[in-house]
Amino acid sequence: MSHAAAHEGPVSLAEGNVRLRAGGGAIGTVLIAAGVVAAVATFAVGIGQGNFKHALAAYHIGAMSSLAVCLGAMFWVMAFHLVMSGWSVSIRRQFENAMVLVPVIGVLAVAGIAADVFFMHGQLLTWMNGAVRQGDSLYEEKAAWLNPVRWGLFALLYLFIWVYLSQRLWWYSTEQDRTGAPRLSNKARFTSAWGMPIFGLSLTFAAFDWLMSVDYRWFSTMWGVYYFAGAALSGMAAMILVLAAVRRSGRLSGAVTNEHLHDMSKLVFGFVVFWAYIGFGQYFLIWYSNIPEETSFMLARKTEGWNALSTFLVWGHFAVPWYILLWKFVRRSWALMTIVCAWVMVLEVADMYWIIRPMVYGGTGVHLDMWWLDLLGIVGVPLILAGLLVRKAHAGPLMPLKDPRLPEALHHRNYV
Amino acid sequence: MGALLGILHRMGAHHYCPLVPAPPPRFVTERGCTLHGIMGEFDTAQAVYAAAEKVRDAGYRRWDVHTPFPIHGMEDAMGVKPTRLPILIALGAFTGVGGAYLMQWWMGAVDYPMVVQGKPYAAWEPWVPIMFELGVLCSAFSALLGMLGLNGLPRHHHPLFTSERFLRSSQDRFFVVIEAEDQNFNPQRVRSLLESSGATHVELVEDDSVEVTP
Repeated sequence: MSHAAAHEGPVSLAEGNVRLRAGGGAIGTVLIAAGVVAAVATFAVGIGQGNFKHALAAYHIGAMSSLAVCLGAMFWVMAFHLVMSGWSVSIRRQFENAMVLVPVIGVLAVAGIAADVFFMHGQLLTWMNGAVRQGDSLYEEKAAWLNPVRWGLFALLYLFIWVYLSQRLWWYSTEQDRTGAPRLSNKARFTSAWGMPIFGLSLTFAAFDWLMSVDYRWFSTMWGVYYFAGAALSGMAAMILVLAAVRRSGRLSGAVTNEHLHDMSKLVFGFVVFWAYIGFGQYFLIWYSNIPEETSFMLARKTEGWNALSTFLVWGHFAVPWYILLWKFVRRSWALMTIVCAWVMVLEVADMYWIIRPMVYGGTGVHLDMWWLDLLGIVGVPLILAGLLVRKAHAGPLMPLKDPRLPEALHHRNYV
Repeated sequence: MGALLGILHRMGAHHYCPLVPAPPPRFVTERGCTLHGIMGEFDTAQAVYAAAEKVRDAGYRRWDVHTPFPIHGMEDAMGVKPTRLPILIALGAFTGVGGAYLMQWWMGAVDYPMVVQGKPYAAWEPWVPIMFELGVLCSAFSALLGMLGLNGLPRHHHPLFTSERFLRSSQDRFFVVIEAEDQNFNPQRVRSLLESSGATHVELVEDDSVEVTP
């Protein structure tokens, strides 16, 4: 209605509002360098101490958490295109920035475990370890799937799918920045339509290959959904953090407002619940049927030391954020949502830690005496991702300036 | 008792609860009917939007705007506060979840403990689906019933339907109605406020549902 619109001033699309200060990306280079140093140091220390397995696990926790952010961002870009969402146009470029980093983060995520599979005789991915799998009929039944040739080819396939989809969607968006052709929005939507199922399947099987196969005896059909839930959640949380930082530097004023934050926070809230829902669903069925090869995973994490982390995840990853996000004033406050989203990101790392780390020493013991190696390994890839995101944000306009649905985003309001 | 009745009247409970007797009318028309309020008629959405802002700033609380179609931003122009319904829904949800927990704990671990698949009596896992479902059920009920309680629906009749002109609120006219129950209600001031806000027509609305004693 004309009166509502009359209350809002025009949003500035001048360079000073939609582009970050040139040369401000230097901090990104510092972060990347720090991440590379941390990753290299992790492996150097790990191999030097004869504990490649622990170093790889720590690195892999950080890498899979970072990959979750990129894949989560990719999911949201495709979801926005699929539903022709207007409100999200002014926030979409940040998601695209994270999505298009999938080649780097994906290769980093797979490089560590690929080295383990092909050169280190499966210290972490024990299905490659002759001493462990010898005479194990559980392995022999799965050998058609868990072998280095199939594993390596499929890793290349997943990466190819993600790189192809992300580059294609990125090209449509940046080409539209240049030409302003509205049909590029339709093409992006078409790509998302056939891309979404392929994306879903590749993410599911990558989660099988790269996370679940750490314990080759164990299996869960919910596993892909579990990783996806964390990815969609941490992708959205990370982008709220990025947009909060961009807004602090005085950019996107009027273009990304509390109304956009409110909707992003609702999605964070939704996926906090979704994660708990399918996480409990996975646990519940295993608990009920009580079959030894299924319960081994939960048994290691629900007895003695690891039980503390499991309990912490239930409260920290679900109950506490759920209760806090019930309040509308939290969902509409950039300061409070920054805290909540940082917490959610930390808990996503804790979730990966909960999945990977108990496999390092087996049994139910926690072995925290090398905690500094955990810390060093975990920060590696996330620092690289953060640095790349900072540089990406400085490299172009902060939103798709010629998207035909941009006016809808600039006048977005929640009528609540 | 009088104080409690006053609170109930202020909440408008007499409109939808037959147990609460209606308060004596504050204003009576010349015919002897209870006065429901004063209605101003406007020709355009712009005019009624501006009038709503004026009525809001004048500090009235019991009033409403009637339009043939939704007007974006009207809730700001009217100064409508967010609904308290979420609090009721949360109470319903926590009652459902807590009730389900206590019920299953009492039945499974206290009153009739029985070994099922060698699981502990007080295992919380099988309780979760019931806690979830009862939480959803009770929040849905409190949402529906709370909504009906807060907006006073359903009702068979409304005093505004006595006005012939008001029928055009579903066609091409816009109305502001200030009710006589409002603490600030003063017939002369309300009339002049509506007229100065650009109302093309102002009229008294009688409440014909209240029996008039001559």
